Amino acid sequence: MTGSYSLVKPTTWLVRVSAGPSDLTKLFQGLDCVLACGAFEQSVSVVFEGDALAWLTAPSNSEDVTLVSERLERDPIKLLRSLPLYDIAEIFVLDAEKVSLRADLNELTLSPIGGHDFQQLIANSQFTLGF
Amino acid sequence: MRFTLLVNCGPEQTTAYTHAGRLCSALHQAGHSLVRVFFYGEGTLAAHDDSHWLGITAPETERVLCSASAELYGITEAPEGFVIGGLGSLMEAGLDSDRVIQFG
Repeated sequence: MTGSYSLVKPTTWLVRVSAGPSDLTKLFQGLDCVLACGAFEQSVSVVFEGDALAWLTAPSNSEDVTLVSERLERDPIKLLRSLPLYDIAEIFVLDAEKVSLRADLNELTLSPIGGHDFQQLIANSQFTLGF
Repeated sequence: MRFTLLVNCGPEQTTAYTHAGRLCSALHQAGHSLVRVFFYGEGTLAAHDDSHWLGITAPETERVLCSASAELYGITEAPEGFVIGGLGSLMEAGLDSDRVIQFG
């Protein structure tokens, strides 16, 4: 282990999630980073883009997703629903103006952003990670 | 400048993996400080290639395998020169590094 985790000075992280239903492991990696930021009281912005929007908009009945979820013993939707517990209730969605959130994620707020806003978000973040 | 590397690709993803290794060497040669290499996801499989990473990172560089990823990929014990740690180690980069560079 690496010493004290008392992170007194909040750092601004930006986590980009583009992994779609075909890459559940990557989604978990991204969400785990987001939750770690929340747990260690770091400031974090979350952007869903591309294939990852599928997680927010429609229930996935994909057999692959079910199988991987069972193997990992984790549910991606439950993980998404836990974000507000870490004061992360807003998710930015890139280049998707008319996204309707699936009903079981209604505690989250989706904020559509375009290219310029995204550039600002990156500029205002100290570190950017992508999954 | 102080750097943390996040290696999120396995050795079979040769391009990103090789680039991460080359950057380690380049940072050292340029006089920068590599604080930590955090191996995440498939990157934890890089620990099998431990001699490679021990050779290109300074002794004071922390080489951390993500605990959850290590468990997922069946790594029960950290090889010599590596430690198993949580994502808090990555969060520490916010305090002790000027840049975090991700591979994979």
